[in-house]
Amino acid sequence: MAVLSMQKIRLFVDRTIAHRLLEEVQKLETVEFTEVPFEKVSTEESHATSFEFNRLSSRLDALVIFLSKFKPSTQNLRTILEGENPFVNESSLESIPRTFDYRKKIEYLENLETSLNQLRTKYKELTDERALLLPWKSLPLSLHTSLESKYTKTILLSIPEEVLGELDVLLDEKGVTYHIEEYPEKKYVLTFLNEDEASTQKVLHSLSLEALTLPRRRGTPAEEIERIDRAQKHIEEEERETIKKIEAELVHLPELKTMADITHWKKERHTLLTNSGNVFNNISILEGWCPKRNLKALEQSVTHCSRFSAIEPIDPEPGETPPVEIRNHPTISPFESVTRLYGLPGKDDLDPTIFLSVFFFVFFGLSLTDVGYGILLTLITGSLLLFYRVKKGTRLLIQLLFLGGIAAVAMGALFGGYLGVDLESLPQALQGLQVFNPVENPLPVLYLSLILGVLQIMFGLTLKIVREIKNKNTFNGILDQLPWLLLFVSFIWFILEKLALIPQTNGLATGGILFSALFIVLSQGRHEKGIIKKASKGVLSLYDIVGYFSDILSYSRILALGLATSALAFAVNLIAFLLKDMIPVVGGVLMVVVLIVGHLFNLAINILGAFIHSARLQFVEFFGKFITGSGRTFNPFTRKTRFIELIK
Amino acid sequence: MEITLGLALVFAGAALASVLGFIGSAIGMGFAGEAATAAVGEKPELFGKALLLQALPGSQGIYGLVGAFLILNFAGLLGGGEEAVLISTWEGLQFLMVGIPIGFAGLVSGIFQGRVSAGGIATIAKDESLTARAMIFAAMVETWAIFGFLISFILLTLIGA
Repeated sequence: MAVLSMQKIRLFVDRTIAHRLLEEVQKLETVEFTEVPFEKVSTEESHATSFEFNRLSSRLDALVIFLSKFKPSTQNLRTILEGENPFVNESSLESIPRTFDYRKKIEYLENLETSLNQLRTKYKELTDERALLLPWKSLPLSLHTSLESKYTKTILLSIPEEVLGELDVLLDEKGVTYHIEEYPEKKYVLTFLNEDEASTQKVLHSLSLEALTLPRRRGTPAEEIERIDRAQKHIEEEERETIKKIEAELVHLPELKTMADITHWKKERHTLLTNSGNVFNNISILEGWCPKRNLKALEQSVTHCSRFSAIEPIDPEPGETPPVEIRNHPTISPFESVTRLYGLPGKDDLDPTIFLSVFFFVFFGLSLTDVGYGILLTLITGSLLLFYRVKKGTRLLIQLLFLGGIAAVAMGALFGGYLGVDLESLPQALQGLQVFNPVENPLPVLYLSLILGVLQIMFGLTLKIVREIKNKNTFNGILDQLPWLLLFVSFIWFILEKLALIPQTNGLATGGILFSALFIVLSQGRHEKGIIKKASKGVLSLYDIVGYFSDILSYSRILALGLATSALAFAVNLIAFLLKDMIPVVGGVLMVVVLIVGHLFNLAINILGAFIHSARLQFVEFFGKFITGSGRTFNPFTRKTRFIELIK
Repeated sequence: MEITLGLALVFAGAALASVLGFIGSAIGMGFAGEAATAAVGEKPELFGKALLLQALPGSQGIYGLVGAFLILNFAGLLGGGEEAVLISTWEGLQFLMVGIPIGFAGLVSGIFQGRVSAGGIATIAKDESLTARAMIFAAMVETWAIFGFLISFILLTLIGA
């Protein structure tokens, strides 16, 4: 129902059964461990085991990633909502490590991976060689023939076009006797006399030309290209075979994924243990945070494991703040996604979830205000929840939209919103439900929005008082908020009187306003030093009225968002019917298409708008009144799932 | 339909309401789109989230579209009635005024919302879990387009009142 209160604890662990005990703690998901201020357990032996665990864990991780690459990718609604990880229950977690010979599987798959990599490297080498040889295909020399003879030397060159003429000129200048033959891709064979070598090299150097070397192979380039082609074909075949073997192992992917996660958990337990305090023989000390409500369960499972283990509550280190976690009733918990979006409140704050839930529900409904869209949203999200095992974070959000759909139906009935259809053409019963007509008379809805705003802001101020009372700061809590609450009440009184909704009291309301204003001036400057500073701070704080005023006006967006939904729905219908009237024969078909696409589009953008703006009203206008801090999210020691989903 | 100055002013009002919103959204979505293409080039898996952020500055155009429809509808120009619509010059001027809040608020807020969205896309490129917060920042700017729409609508209901 609230922010969970946390207890710092110290855990004494009997090292002989440490793994079993920590596994229980992992399952309970209720302790966040912190650094221990003692000498660490770390020994050479524990380092060696750490190394083993790390190695096994990373081998398994690498294999899972490698093998997953061969899984045909299936992108559909199911994989988006549920993810591609297998669902594993506790009994498979027990049985898989015993029945699945993962060490053998690791060896086998790693060998396959190595040979696949070797094949691919070889193939790439051959491709490179082939590319080198290709321009020389018509060279009538076998590649191992020496290019040097008694009188001449021959080199292979790649000569850019613009340099070719220059080369001729320079060689002629030096009086070199030479011969050049041209091959495709600007490749040339240059033959010159041995005695001219020095001057030829100089010329080549000045033009930054370098002799090319070809792979040392037996036959002519043409023969070797053919040989490479044959070899590559052979490699391709082997690669296909290897891939087939790997793909045959895909059936074991779920088991491998399970093993990878189990090993990871083991590794984490081991790391935790090596960092624990070493105080007595065979007893380790761990410290951490645990929600108070779970202490009993933790103690039971710890002492159940070994009578040499125990937990003890301790005081936190000076300056240490506990992590924050919130817990709410299942009907309210979907609204936690709004709270979490903002970030968790500070440790001394109230959990705003239950307080914002009603407002969010109403605001979301008012921003959609359409029975048709509400029903659609409820049906879509309801069937997603019913037919899919949606991941936790997404599930809360979908549940929230489901509730939002219900709100939209209720508000839509009150406001007469039915997919933009004119209410007068609908059954009498539905017309009877309508209370507001935002299109013809928007002002009452504007007032309604502003009244909701005033209510939420006053509620926020009241919650601030509650928060201060909880933190034993009652005096300041009341003095800070009460004058403002009184001012709000007096203003409401004043307005009601002006509207003649309540009996006249001859200026009592005005008196109330003046009294509250004086109260504000007197109370808000009390922390300042000196009478002048106190007074000026008090008077200046009256300026906060502007802030409250703009906060309240901000709620008028509720009216505008609701109007935008119905106006756009109306526009969609209008376009659709115009099409039907204007275009003969196919007009009817076009009308249906426009209606479906248009309304779905309108639904989508308005859900987005309703969600964002309802959330914003909570964050900016509401939270600002009573939430002061922000908390570090409680991050308990758990079995972190990376490749599997646990069924609990 | 008799062509009067009043009628022309109604047209001008509808044109103003819609086209200014369209321009605002086009520029805003353009900014956000540039950031999105860059982010998706590095991390293709961000496509959906980047698209969502890019879509946010599109609402100004939609408000403009809706505004133009409402102006034409309140002036009695839609709905296929055959009877002549008579709109005086003063009435027409009122319809033109209606287009101003929604049009200009949409134009300016669309552009700046686009900039915030572009920044938001850069944020989610660094940390995907911040998507929702980036969206809230962009939605803050949209407030002014919503208020523009609201005032235009209230003015519209007051015409002839």
